[in-house]
Amino acid sequence: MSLMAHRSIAGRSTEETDELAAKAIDAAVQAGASYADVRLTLTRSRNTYQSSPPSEAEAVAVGVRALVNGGWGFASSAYWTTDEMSRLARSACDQARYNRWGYLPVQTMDISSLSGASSTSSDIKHVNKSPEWSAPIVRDPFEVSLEEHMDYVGSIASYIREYRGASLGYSPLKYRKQHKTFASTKGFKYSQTTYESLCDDSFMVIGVTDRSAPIPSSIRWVPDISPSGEGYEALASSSLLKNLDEYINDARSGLYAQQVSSSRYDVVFDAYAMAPILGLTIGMAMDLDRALGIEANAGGTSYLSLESAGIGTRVGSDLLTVTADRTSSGGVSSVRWDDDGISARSFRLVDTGLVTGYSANIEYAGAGGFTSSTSVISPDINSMLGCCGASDASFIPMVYTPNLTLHPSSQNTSMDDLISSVDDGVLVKGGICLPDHQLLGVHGLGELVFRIRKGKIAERFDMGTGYIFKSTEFWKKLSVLGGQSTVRRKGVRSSKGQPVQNISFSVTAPAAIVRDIGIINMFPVMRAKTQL
Amino acid sequence: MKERMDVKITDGELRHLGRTQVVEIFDKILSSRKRGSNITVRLDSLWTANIRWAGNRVVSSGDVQTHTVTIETELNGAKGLATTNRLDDKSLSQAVYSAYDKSRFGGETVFPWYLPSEQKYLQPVIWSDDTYSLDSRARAQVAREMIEIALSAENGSAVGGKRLSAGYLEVKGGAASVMNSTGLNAFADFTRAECSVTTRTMGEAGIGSGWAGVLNYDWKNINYSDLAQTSRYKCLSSVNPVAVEPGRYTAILEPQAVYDIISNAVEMMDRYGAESMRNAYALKPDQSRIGLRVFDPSITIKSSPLIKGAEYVPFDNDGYPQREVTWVESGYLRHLGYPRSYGVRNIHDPLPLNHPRSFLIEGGSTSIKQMIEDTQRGLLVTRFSGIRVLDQKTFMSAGYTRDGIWLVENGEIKYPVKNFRILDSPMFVFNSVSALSPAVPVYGKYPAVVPAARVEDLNFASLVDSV
Repeated sequence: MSLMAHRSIAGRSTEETDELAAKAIDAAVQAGASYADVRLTLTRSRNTYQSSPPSEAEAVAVGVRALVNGGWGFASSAYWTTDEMSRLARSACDQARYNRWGYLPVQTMDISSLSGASSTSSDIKHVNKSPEWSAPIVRDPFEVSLEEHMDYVGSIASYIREYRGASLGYSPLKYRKQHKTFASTKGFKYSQTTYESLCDDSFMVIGVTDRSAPIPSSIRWVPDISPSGEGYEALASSSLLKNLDEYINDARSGLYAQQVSSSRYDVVFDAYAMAPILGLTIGMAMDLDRALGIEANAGGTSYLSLESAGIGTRVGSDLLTVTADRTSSGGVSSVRWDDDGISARSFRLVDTGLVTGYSANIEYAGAGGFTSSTSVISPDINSMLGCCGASDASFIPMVYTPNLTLHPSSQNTSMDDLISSVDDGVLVKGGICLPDHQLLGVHGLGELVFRIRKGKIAERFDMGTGYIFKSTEFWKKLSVLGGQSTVRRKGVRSSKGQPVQNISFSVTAPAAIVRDIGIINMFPVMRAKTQL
Repeated sequence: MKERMDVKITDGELRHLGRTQVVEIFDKILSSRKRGSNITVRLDSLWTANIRWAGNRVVSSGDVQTHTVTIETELNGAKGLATTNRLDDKSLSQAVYSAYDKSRFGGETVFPWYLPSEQKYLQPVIWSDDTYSLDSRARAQVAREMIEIALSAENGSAVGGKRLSAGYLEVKGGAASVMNSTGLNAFADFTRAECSVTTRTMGEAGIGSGWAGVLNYDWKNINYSDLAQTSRYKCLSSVNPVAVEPGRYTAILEPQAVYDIISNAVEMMDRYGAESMRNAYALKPDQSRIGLRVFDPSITIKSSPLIKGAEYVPFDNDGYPQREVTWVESGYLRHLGYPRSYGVRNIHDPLPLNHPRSFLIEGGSTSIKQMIEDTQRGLLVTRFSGIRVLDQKTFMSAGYTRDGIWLVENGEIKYPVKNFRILDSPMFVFNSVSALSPAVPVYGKYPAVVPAARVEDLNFASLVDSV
């Protein structure tokens, strides 16, 4: 017997995918679901490399999620047929029945009053009454010829080679485009197309070698290359070309870097260093599933759990105001509607240092207990929704970290202003942030770390230079924010869930001064032992 | 290897593609082959089912069927690659076209481009009907039993405070296959099961956290109630940890902790990387440390599709056989992995030697209990979390201890201590090993069998407050 005989799959018309979606929903209701949704995704991806040929991939998936008497079930496959919709719906409902057992009732939010994917606004087309939306990109990366892409990267490589000892290293650049059709028993339905450019393990690295230098080779990661919700313009219109000379010089200055002696300093973090710190210690810490302990057996719990923090808790200085959104143009977490069918929205996570919200989906928004005992702020749960998502329809939807914005200073404080206001300190540009399993204890490596003496950038420290702090203290010590001129956007990658899903979200942040932070030599052991 | 058709299917439904379907798809792809060119098709088909619980209730479950068809073409020495999961004729021929189309970026000849023809493989047992037939009702029952164990009373009375169980159970079954236009025909059915559980307690009695987990091809080999008991025990005995001074300690690493800190160093056993001074197995330019001692003389590391508890599919993505290799023998580095191009060019080996992902570290005969009794002062570690290699050249790694760490003094466990941030290289940590326990299966991305180890010097760099 051939599978292909009864499970043919191909690109379908909108009417056909809508019919398939409707079939799944009907079948779930018939099988006893009190709530169900279905997603059909077609994901195209394109991977390009410096040294080997590019490749392209496509994947279809359909996933049905059902709630039966308080238990959830989920079933997915790669077959877009009417029979398969029914099978998946039945499987999801069967699982849900077995899963409803538990010591606590499931507290799914009553979403009957919510506005979902039925709204009318100017950017939405209605095709057969099903709203349709496509992310506002400038150029579809899949309509850019591979030749043009390779030429562009090739010209960057040639430019870099003109510097003695410099070259463009292995630079995989990846793009993804996803079309999704959604329907739920709430009557929400939509189709939307989103893009992720420079996604997954994309990076671009510049290397400089000089055998006569104290350190014979050094690299610079190009900070413009990070996941983005834009199209091809994420690469071609970025500030990359403008800054190439600077990046090459950055790589070169690494050849003469010195070891740091561990101490506490006032630290100027640039926007690219702030982004992962904010993304992990505020963004992911305030994902409602993590705050509720759902991730306890995976990535871990959160120091901002509902039990220990909650709305109204102080998490940082008055300067800390953070907005979450899935609406900003070009944000890699941006959508028009989420995987609950709810319209994307923008809300405050932290306002002048106080927790004002958590990132929620309908599954957990009904949990209650959002507010700390001393709070004077009452939560607006409706505004925190829209954060349900998954990599594609083969993954179960979960709380998907939204884009984050750390509000900059309204003063026109420049990077130079920040540096010149520090008498004896350190400048950290870029790097990686590595928090523990409650996102509380944090260490990280700066990519470019300099000493600041009397308000001026002095010697550069080597690649073993890191920072260490406790999240609660870090945000309370946030002392000066840079103005708009210091703001950059960076896509932050992480993972969560079981089975594990890769996620990425954009963080827009200014540079900032954080007082009294531990700057450490991360490789002292290595140095001591390798010298033996 | 078991034929797909022999597989016992409990509910009468096909959940992954069998050999017949795979051959059918391959034949279709081959019919689009251009004259004078070669095609390799890799088809991975997988059924995965899972259940996840947290806060003492099931929070999600899933039943997912996926497959991936990867088509690699070679035309006049230039390679092309395309991937799809659409199995209709049109989509498959479009994918073939897309692969050929990429040949124009192939540049100069890719070396050496003759394809493998029929190969001989080792014959591991990697299929379990018990894994494939663990249905959603049975999975929910396992979750329920594991939660009940977490909540069960201690000596007849519940320890104060709230106790929470969070866990994950996953079973999968699928087929891996590689076929090409020169007669290669590799096919293997395999299953895998994993189960892990965290027990946490909070409230008047203090906060504690414990964990246990394991991965095996056969669900029968996973004693889930043992996992639940271990996780519960670790949770209850790690409540109210005391802060002890950071620094270098003798450490008794449970098997999971050994795996967490050494697995990167094993997976990065790369010969070319070593010869180009890019990893810790480098001696000097163009020379690796093969033949030299890299670990303590008690350390022997092997991989083979046949190792019990660390079995895997006996061929790689190109259809080349996976071999039985002793990577480290009594501390001496014997081999480093390389791709086929390296082998042919440099050491007259026509086959690749793939880096180990599943592996065995040979065990000793000292029980963890004995290690504790023999220890004057040290730390007993359950596992590490968030381990990351910060420097490829030394494998300097950073991470955190998690889910139970205790101070050992004068041969006894004294009390639970606060978690540490650790900063050290496995190349240093496993250079001074004073005892090994028998090796057991652990929890990782791939199956592995690893002993507990007492290491004489591990850098517990600073304290963290997280539990």
